[in-house]
Amino acid sequence: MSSSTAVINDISPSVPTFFNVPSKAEKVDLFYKDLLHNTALNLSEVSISSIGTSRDGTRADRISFSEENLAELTGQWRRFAVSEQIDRIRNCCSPATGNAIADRLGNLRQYLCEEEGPKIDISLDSLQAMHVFIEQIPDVRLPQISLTAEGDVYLRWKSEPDRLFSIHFLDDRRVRFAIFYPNPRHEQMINRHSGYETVDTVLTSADKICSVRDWISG
Amino acid sequence: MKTGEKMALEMLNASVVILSEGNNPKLLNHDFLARNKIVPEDWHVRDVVITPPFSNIVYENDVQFVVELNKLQIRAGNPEHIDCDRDLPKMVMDYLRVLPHVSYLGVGINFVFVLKDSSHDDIRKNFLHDGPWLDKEGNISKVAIEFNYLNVEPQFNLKIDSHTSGILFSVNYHQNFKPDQEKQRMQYISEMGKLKIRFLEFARHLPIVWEQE
Repeated sequence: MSSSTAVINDISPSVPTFFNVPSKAEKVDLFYKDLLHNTALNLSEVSISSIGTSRDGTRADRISFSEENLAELTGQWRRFAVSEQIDRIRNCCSPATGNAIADRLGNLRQYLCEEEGPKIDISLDSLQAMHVFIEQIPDVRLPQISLTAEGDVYLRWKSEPDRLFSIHFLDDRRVRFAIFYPNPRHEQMINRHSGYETVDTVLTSADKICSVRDWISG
Repeated sequence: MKTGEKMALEMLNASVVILSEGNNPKLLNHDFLARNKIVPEDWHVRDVVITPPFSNIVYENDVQFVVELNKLQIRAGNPEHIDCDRDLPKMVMDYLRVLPHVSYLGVGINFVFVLKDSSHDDIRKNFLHDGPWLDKEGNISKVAIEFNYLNVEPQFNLKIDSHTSGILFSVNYHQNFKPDQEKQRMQYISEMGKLKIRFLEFARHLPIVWEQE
């Protein structure tokens, strides 16, 4: 060989544990290959083993772990993602309220784990929607927090007799909500409104019905 | 390098590379590392890339974490900022303890040393016989040598190459492990400092005149 550089490059792969960061081109290649792989998994069109055999050897090498391993890793990733989301909620409003909300979510998470087993956790999508909602009200008051059987987050604010606003985060963008408040002309009568909205518009809609923002903040 | 002048090896960086099956690169971020007490919370991230198959975090003190599906790499890029004998292996072991479900395999312990104020000429003069092969294609412009000692445990690999700052010695001690040999793997990683001394002892026998650190 006439080039010493070529010699070095040829030799390096024979030592698998030399420190070596993939080049940018290799990173992009890895990213898109994995994106394709994830898409295939999400569509449930093919099994992991069939992906391995249908691709070239380099890809199959990297999918040598079993479906069980993958499920375990996905579970680990989800647990960490839920913890991170709870931390984000902790930091998006006043420290006292943020800490109280995060602590309550932590306790509910523990109960859920004890009741349903370690594989069951709070819905990550629901937590993401809750984060988007709470972020809109920096001085939010502490709500009552509960979980549905599916692990979705459900918040309720009760203020004065007969006033209630509740919101159920169905996934990362859709919510159901309910508002109860006294009829201004007929005090014995309780008005009841409910709806199905996206998380970024529900507060505006609820405010139009009655000033919900005033009840749940301050 | 002048004849008879004594030179000292200076460590440029150190790293631990762990082969594995089933890493999840998406887990890697500063919150994850800090929450699990793998790095101190007050470390500042300088650069971060997180993708499903590859993640890379570089801290301002030049500590770098690289996670691929089949490899975990942790590197101290500036030994003045971190104790490579104690803190680097501790970070590695803490990381492994946090994710015990990954199948970890072989471990490489790497050091890069530089012999300053020296050049490829010194490699040529000290390691190669004179002969026509040095100038038949015009004067040789670069020399690099690799030594592999694969019949010992741990395997020892050494590359000697030139760089603008001097001669580089890239050292790799590679030990294969089975996934369930957790105790042996941890023991091996914890002895990183001993492997550094082992290389420095070895280097005394190389045909270059220097003084040890």
